[in-house]
Amino acid sequence: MSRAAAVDVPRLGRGVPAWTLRAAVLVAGALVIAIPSTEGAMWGGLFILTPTILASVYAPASPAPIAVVIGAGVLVALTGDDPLRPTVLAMIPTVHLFHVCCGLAGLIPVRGRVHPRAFARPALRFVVVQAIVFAFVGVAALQPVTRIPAGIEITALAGLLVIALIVLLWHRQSKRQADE
Amino acid sequence: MSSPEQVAADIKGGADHGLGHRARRWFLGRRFVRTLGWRRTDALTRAVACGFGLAVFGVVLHRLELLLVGAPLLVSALLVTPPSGRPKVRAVQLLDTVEAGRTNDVTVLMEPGQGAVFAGLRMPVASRSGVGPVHLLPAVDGRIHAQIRWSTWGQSDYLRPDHLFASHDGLYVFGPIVGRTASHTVLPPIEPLPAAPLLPRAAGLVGAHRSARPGDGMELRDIRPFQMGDRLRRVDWPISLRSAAASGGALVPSTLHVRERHAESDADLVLALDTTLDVGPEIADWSEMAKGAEARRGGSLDTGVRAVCALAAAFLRQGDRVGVIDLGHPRGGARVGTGPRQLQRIRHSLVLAAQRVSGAGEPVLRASQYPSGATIVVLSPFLDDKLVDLTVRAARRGNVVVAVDLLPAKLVPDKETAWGEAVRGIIVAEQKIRLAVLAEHGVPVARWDDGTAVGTLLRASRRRPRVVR
Repeated sequence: MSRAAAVDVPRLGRGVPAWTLRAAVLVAGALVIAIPSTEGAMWGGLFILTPTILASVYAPASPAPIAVVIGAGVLVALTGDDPLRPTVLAMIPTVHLFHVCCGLAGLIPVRGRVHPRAFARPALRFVVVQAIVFAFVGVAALQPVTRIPAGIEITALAGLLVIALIVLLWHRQSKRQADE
Repeated sequence: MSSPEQVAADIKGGADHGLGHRARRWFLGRRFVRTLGWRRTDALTRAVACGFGLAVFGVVLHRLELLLVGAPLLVSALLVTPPSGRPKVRAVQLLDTVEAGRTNDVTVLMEPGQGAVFAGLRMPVASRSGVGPVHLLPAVDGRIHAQIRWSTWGQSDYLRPDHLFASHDGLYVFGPIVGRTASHTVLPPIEPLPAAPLLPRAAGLVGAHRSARPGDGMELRDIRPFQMGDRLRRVDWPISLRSAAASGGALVPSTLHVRERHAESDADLVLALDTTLDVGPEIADWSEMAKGAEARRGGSLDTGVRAVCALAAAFLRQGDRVGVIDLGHPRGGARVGTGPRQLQRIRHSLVLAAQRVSGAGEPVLRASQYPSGATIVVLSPFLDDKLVDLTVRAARRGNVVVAVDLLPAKLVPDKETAWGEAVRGIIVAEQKIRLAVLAEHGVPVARWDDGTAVGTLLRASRRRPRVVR
């Protein structure tokens, strides 16, 4: 857990308009459509994702971005067979960027001002998360592509559920401690 | 407004009375949860739901792509820990009264607590008046400074530090919390103006102006033979000796001469401002009241207030007694007085007067509101016959009265109606007639451009003999 540094912020400048965050959501959303379209998913992607991307730009703190993330996953799953092809690798940071942009755009009114120095720590965190994911991609690339036995898959699913439960309980406990 | 405890009791308590009651409880709960501290956001729900969902479906459907696309969201959710502590934001109060046209720093103390990464803080910006927009900043433990510029005068809110704190990626938020509003009075600016000599007032034989009467001043009025009652220290000995030498050499009372000096007297200037109206160049906007307590920039009231400040400052600096009459509100204004404190009193009264512009009401200018013999400057757009009546009556009482026309020079007709140009023509024509009536009754009229025309009029009024009709 990090504690904010005790410093005096120099005089507040003008910053940039907060609609640039919405523009970033739009750009990231456009990339989510554009990347699978290189494999021939143009019209389908446009038809499915465009309304939800526009809804995400309008209301970034709403369930609309969930549809975009799931839609992006479905599109890359439907448009190719190789799970580690360049399109998938490009979609990993793009979807993450879309998720982060929506999270930040939902914090501030569209008429607010954004100060770029606020993004120094989030940018570092973005890089760390991507490094972890691409390490996982590297591990996945080294695995054999033969069919996995059903027992291992069931164990993996159970493991995921256990992780989900642990995360849920951990968050709940941390929140209770924080409230106390 | 209900307290958090009352709202909590309302949410928890009571029997279930159907869908409407449940919906109300849900709405109250949503509102109440915002006061409880850190809470999860849609971004966290998205990260957990999409991350786990895509991972599960990826495993079930044997599609690694689904797992990989959802992986950053999952890792992001796993890396974050719920922030703790209660962030605090405190504003450092500025002075209650400030000068227009100046800049200053507004400071806010921020304590974001553990885990906060972003701070959404409403702070003013130098280019705009008011409490300003919300700024997205890094959450730092310390002082946040913003520059503020007071370009408009009046009473206004300059700071309301509404705030919201968020963790990484906006997964947890604290707030939004509405800050305490800080307001202040911005005094109208004082524009430099050369002061003109005013008509001296006979009442007090002290002051800065030369009176027509003989007295104990400094300025030489005459040299005349000694009379009974003259003080000996007034005797001009060189002249008296020369006079004695010319008449035979004996210094007798008939050869004595005295120096007579002008008396010095003070002058009263009363500035009567029309606060019943505030009109700008756009005729279409005349029926709309300005927002809040602010006068229209460049409108008749704004120009009038600036003119009053400039005149008051110039004549007070000269040592005259200056007062202000709020024509729309007889209890407002400031009685005549002298000195720098009187200037502050006048400026405060002008700020209050600007808040009470209603667009209606009966203007009042009674003899009891100003000292006899005072010079009166009436500042108005003269869109009402009553103002002309008041001004003429003041002139008939024997005061020197000067009218200052505050109607914007170029009126813009209402473009939304075909009668706009005709209306503008009628307004201008009627106003010209009113000004002509004033001139007929011996009240000179000038426009307020930079004040020089008014100074010339005051100077001319001093020389002009007063005519009581």
